[in-house]
Parts: sequence; structure tokens; C-alpha cells
Amino acid sequence: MIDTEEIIEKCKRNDREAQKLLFETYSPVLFGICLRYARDKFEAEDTLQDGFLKILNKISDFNGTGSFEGWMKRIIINTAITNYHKNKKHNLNLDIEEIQETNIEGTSYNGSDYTAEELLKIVNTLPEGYKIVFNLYAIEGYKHKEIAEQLNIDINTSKSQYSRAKKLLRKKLELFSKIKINERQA
Amino acid sequence: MNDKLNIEDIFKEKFENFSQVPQKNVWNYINRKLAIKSFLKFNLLNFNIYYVGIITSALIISGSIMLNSENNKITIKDNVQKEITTIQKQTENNVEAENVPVITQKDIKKNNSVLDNNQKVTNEIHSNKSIVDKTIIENVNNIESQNSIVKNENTTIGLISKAEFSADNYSGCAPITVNFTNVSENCIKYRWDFGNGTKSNEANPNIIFENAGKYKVKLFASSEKEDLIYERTIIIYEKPKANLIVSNKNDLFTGDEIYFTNTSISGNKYLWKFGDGTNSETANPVHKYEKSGNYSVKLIAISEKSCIDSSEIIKIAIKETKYKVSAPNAFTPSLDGPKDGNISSSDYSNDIFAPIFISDVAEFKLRIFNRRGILVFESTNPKFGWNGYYRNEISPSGVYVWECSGKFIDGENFSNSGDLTLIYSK
Repeated sequence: MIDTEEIIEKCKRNDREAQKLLFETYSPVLFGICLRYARDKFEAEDTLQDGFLKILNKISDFNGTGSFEGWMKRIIINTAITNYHKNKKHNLNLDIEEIQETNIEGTSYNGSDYTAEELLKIVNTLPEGYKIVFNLYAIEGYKHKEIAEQLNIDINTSKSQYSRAKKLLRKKLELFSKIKINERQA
Repeated sequence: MNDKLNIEDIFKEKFENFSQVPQKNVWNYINRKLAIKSFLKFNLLNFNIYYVGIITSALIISGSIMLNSENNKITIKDNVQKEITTIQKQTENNVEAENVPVITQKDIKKNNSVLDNNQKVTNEIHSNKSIVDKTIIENVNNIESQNSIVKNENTTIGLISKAEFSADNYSGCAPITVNFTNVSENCIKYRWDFGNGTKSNEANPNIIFENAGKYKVKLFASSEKEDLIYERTIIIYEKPKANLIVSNKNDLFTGDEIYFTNTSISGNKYLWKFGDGTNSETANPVHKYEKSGNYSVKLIAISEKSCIDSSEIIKIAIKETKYKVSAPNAFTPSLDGPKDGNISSSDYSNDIFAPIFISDVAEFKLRIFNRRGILVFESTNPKFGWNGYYRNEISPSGVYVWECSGKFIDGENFSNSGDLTLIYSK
């Protein structure tokens, strides 16, 4: 186990070895977050690069209280949100009409059917706006009010995007497990 | 609703600890950026060969500019060129001269006036060739800018002054000692204002910020030429005050419910340490100890800004339940004359008052006093309690105090006391 406090102190002094160690220790978790927000692996790498530079830049502001990992995660999430804002004009936004209400009866999926990588693929098929709201609300546990403030959208937009994201995900999960069952049978 | 939980849970469960090692090129990129950043960060401490290199190349470039301008000056008379070389020489000398700014300025003025005259002459000669005129003006400009470049380089080597400081903490929890490091360059005198009424003339002061607030810390630095100010805000957050109250500290036994009340100030989250290895994050917890012993209870309060305070340690002594001595707090004496005080387990009339023991006692002494402090009953037999009568008269209804002490058969001492209410109506 590494001594986080010592590493933080060294990073504050710009010790390159400590910075590398910090990166090696935490980058897998942070990259996991980036992958959820980014459209592809390359974008995730960009987010990680930007975010980690911010972390090293601001590490002297970290006052030693509270969770260091939580602080880094927040910076990464905030970087992802910033990137979302930056890329917004390039993103394809789906209109409401394109989302078909799905029949939610007879759901035939449960958690153990999927690996994290498969779920990641499914989340990444969501339209950007839905994806970021879903990530922030369901995984990070942000409140709709906070999401609305962060993304500069209406609180009701956040709520409706979230519920549509869930409907889409449900549909995709069903589809996915059907395919899997078929594959097993074949 | 069930579905909703499902979806969120599926994703949350799998993503909570989801991690993936990024490719190596990500660190390489960060490493490169960091290297560039630390290189560009000008610092006298790591003043190195690179900066010398940059200055040298700047000198070479400026030298070549000068050469070019000389080549272009075909139309200017010889004395102009002489003047240029004089300027050059003078400015070069000025690098080592002591009163640099004064001499340089005088020279520039002088040279400029010479140039002006020459320009006029050349203007007269080539009045119809405006292109050539422009070249001359450019040349003059070149010479002037050349002077300023040389002047700048002078100052880079020793005279640019900068006021700046860094602090080991730009934010923190009160009270906090902030160590300021003066990174000003080429300044002689320093004066600090910490925004909290404290001032200092030290170069690197250490200051204690006692209270929460936003403090504008100003560093006034003076060089030989100018006065500079650098300002940065230090944010100090309020420290919470952890405080607790225990329902009862005495006569606590294993399995008893102990009520802890949180009386902390400006806490947001709490951590209780009960001293038996268990913790709680509830604001006002109820705790039971499984084993007897002495425990140290501590409450840690965490504010919204992650400031932390620990309460003082509360000592709690927990005894084995088998040593518990308790007593009812009310009884109703028989109105039909005094009963003998023998306690019978089959008697539910509640006519006799006596403490209750779980273990057998070897020594026993029970005394009961009325409100005036008069001893109304005394017994050395644990099976013999008070019937409510004093000198064969029924005692008035009201509150009495009992006191009980002795020894259990295994040698453990006990002592307990309490009040009891005597109730009857005629």
C-alpha cells in the first residue's frame, strides 16, 4: 500500500516520480470514469490527460481533509462535464420523437448477465445528453438540481432526459440479453 | 419502481469499482506537458543554461537586425553609421556601467537628435523617393528598438523586479498556520498585510489565522526603482466544534442502551468511536456494549468544507450485568397495618420496597431517608425490605431516597442509590 499523504506532499513539490506514482495508482479508476463520459477511447484519454494535469496543478490546494480520491474523481467528472460543454455543438442530439416508448413488461435481465465492459458499451450508445445525465444521476449520485446547474439546463430537462435514458437502457439491456441467449442456443 | 431500481443498481454495481488501465502514451503526454510547464516557469532557483542560451540567442538576433539595418542604410551619410556604432558601443558599455538608466536615456536623446538631423538631410536629398524615406524611418525605429532591447536585456540580467509569494496553504481550516514564501525577485524591502490585522516586515513570515474568513494577503515589495504589490486571497473555513452528551455515565452495564446526544457546532458529518472497535456515522446514536470494561468515547465532527474536530474523550465504565443493582421507583404500602418486610417472589402487591439483584449478595446494607434526611428504614438482609411504615405509622406519601451498598458473593463491591415515590390514597 502506498502512503498517499507522502505522495501528495511530494506532488506538491513537483516531484516527477511521485506524480508518476500517483498516476499509476489512480489512473485506472479515473480512466474508468472517463470511459463512461467519453464517446470513445480517445476522447476518454483526452479527458484523463486534461483532468490529471488539473489535479497536479491544483494539488497544492488540496488541504488534506476529506477524501483525496473523491476529490480527484470530482475533478475528472468536472473535466468530463467541461468537455461535454465544449463538444456540445458537435454532438448529435436526438429529438424526443425518435425515442419510442418501450413496453417495460416482462423484463428479462438481471445484473449478473452483464460485465462492466458490456454495460459500458450500452451506456456509450446513449445520446450524449442522456448519457451525461444518467452518469451523473445514477452512478455519481448527483441531484437533478446540481445536474441542471452543472450542465446549464433546466431541472425538468435533467429529469426527463434521465427517465428517457433509463427507458432506452432498459430496451437495450433486453435486446442485449436476447442476443446473448440466442448466441448460447446457437 | 422495481424496474427503476434494477436499472440503476445494475449499472451502479458494475461501475462503482470499474477501472481500466489507460495506455502508456497518456502518461507520456502528461509528462511532456509537465516538463514544458516547469521549464517555462521562470525561477531564479533553476536559472540554468537554457535561460543563458535564450538570452545569448536574443543578443545574436538583435545583432543581426543591427547588421541588416546597416546594410540598408546606403543613403545615410557616414556620420550616421558612426553614430550607430557609437550607440552600439555606448549601450554595450552601459551594460557594465553603474548608472545605466540615466546614461542610456541621455545617449538615446542625443543620438536621436543626431539621427533626426541626418534624416532631414537625407529627406532633402531623396525627397522624391518615398520608399527610401520609409527605409530610413524604419532604420531609425530599428535603432530605437535596438536600444530598448538592449535595455531590456540589462534588466533581465539584474533589474526586472517582481513581487510574488506562495503559501503552503491557500485554504484550510481555522486555526491554521500559513507559511508564506517570498518569491519576489530583485526587491529589497518587504511589507506584508495579511488582511486579519496582522502586519509583518519579514521576508518569509508564518502567520496563524485564528478565524474563518477570506483574507486578502498583500505583499508590498520595493526594488530600487519601484514599489510593487502582489495580492492573493487565503480562505479559512470555520472549524466545527465536536461536542457530545452521554445519557448516563454511571451504573452502566453490558447490554444497556446508552444514548449519545450530539451537541456539535457546524458539523455536517459525524463519526462516533465507541472505544470497543465499533463506529457510527449517525448523528445521535444509541449504543450497547457487549463486554464490561472502561471505554473511551470520542466524536469527530466534519464540516461541509471537510474541516475536522474531535471532541474530548468521554470515559465510560461498563459493568457486568450480573452486578446490576436496580430498584423500582415507586411502591404502594399496605394500608392494613405494617407487613413484615420479607420479600416473596409470589407477592405482586408491591407492598414492600427492596432493590433487585441478579447475583447473590454476601454483604448488604439498605438505608432509606425521608425528605428531611431522617433515616426511616435500615436493613442488612437483602430479603428484607421496607414496608412503608416508620415507628408503626404509615409514612406520608412522597419522595424518599434509598442508598444500598454491599458485596456480591464473588467479592465484587456494589453501591447504588436512587429515589422512590411512596404512593397511597386513603
